[in-house]
Parts: sequence; structure tokens; C-alpha cells
Amino acid sequence: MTTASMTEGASHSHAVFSRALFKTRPLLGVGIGFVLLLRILMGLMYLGGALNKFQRNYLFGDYPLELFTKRLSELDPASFPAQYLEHFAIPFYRLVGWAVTWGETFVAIGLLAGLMTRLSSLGALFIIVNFAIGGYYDASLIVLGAICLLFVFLPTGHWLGYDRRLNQRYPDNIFFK
Amino acid sequence: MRTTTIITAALFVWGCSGPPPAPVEVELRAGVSEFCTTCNDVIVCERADVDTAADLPPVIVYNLLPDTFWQQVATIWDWLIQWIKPITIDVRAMTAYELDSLDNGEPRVVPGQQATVNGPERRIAVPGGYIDQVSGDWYRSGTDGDRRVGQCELLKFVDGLALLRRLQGTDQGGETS
Repeated sequence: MTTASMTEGASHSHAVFSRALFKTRPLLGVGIGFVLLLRILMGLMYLGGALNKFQRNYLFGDYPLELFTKRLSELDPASFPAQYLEHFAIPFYRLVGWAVTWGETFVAIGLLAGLMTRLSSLGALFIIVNFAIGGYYDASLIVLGAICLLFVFLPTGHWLGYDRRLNQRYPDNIFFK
Repeated sequence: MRTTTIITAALFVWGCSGPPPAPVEVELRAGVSEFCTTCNDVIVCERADVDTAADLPPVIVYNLLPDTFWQQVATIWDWLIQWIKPITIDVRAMTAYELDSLDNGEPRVVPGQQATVNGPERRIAVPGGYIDQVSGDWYRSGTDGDRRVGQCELLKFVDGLALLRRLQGTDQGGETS
């Protein structure tokens, strides 16, 4: 990596969340602070979800099978979520258990640490969509999905997170944009 | 960022340090989940005999309604604080249909009621008493204590929907949900 490219990588225009920002542009500071708070809260929510998966042994136990089977009994058999559970989630419950456990884990780390934040947010959105079509839809998922989209389009990992430093070191890497 | 990493790792270790108490797995005759926000539950309660609580109708069909849009959105807060205050109780809007017989007869509709689902106690509180989720026993609360007055059962989704359609089609109270 040349000095020039390192300099180019360091000259991006994203703000940094700091005390100086509040002094120079207080409204922007408050706005960024609010979005970062949402990111941390979303990260904590996924962290809680991930811990729950490990504690209930989603990786090697049969809890996902019991959960999906119970949920199937609560749904209209002709509905899409019922079909999704019956033909995908239940037969492949072990795969779904692994995907959800590790997915929530990496999303939590990404959002809390500001690491590959946009990719983590896309992962969070993917999990939310699968919850919805898997029979666990409710209106709160709309709000959570909208918040995840916010993190996809805004450079929150550069405001506060590892993405800023990693983007300076690897400016062409899309995961740290 | 190092602090965030350490805190995240510590939270993981703390969370994985022990599983939650394993829930006692029992068959529930009137098992309504305290977590479900979109469920439309139908519980049929039949009085034990003509001499028991003669002021009660022979049959009451309790329809626990799904949460409204904003109630579902508000559950985001419940999930966020569940590490401090776990979700154990759910208050559901309810409509009661009072009948002389389940097979025929026109119902008297009593809208605007509430049922409280208590997960740990495995009870559903209804006006004037409660339903034991495990046994399905229907209890009436009085000055001389709780008295068993009949038996309840949660209907499967398809059966519940069919019964609701029949009750709402022959409704003389003018209320349809």
C-alpha cells in the first residue's frame, strides 16, 4: 500500500463522533448520537438473541424443532409462513438453528463494534425478514427493519467504530465503506 | 473501541455462563403464549353441570384478540428491557361469546373485555375467575375462595377460526370482530 493511497483513504469526509463535533456542529452531533444509540440498542438486542440461542442449545439440541412445530400449530395451515415452516424450517431445523445463532452473533458484534457495519445491518435485516416469513411477523419488525436500513445507508461505523480505521488501511475494501 | 470489544466479550461470557432454568415441559390444555402478539386464540369453556355456578352461561367462548399495530410496535421496548424485566405477563383484548350450547344457539356477545396471560403461573385471568392452562380447569373467584366451575380447552387454529365465523355469523348483539 502506497503512502498516497493511505492518504486518500484517510481523507474521506465522514464525521467522527466526538466532543469536538458537538462544539462545532451540535445539531449534527445530536443526530449522529441518536443514530449511534439506535445502533448500540439494536446490537444489544441481537446480543440478547444470540445469548438466548447458545443457552437454549440451538446448535446441537432440538429446541428449534419444538419451537417451529409449536408455531406451526398456531398458524393458518394454508398461509405462507406455515408452508415456510413445514417445508423448510422444520425439515432443516438444524441448519436454521446454526444460521440464526451465528447470524445473530456476528450481527451483534458488527453493530456493537462498528465493524463491517453495513454488512452486519444487512445481516440483521435478513434475519428480520426470515422471522417475518417464518411465522413470527408482527408490526415491530417493520420498525426494526427500517432502523436496520438506516445503518445500511449511513456510515455509522465511521462515525464510531472499527470501520473508520480499517477503511483508512484498506480503502478499496467494500466491507469497511 | 478496545473498551467496546472487552465489554462485548464480557457480556458474551456472562451470558453463556449458565443456561436459564429449563421450563417444565407439560401438556397445556389451554396453552396461550404470553409472547405471541398476532395470535387469535379461541378457548371454549363449558360449565361442569347445571348446579354449578348457575348464574354462569353453560358455555363461554373466549376469543383473545391479536395486539393492535401500535401494541405490536411497543413490544420492541419489552424485548429491549427483558434482561431487567423478563416478559411473563400479557394482557390481551378479548371478546366473550355466551351460549346455551356449543352445537347450536345464538351467542350473546360481550366485547371489550380483557384476559391476562400469566406464563409462570400458567393461568389466564378472565372476568370473574381464571383458567388453569395445564389442566384446563375453569375457576370462579369468590369471597369464599376459588371454585372449579367447569373445563376449558384451547382450540386449534382452524377449529377456532371456524367456530368464530359461525358465532359471528349468527351474532345478535350486532358486534362483529
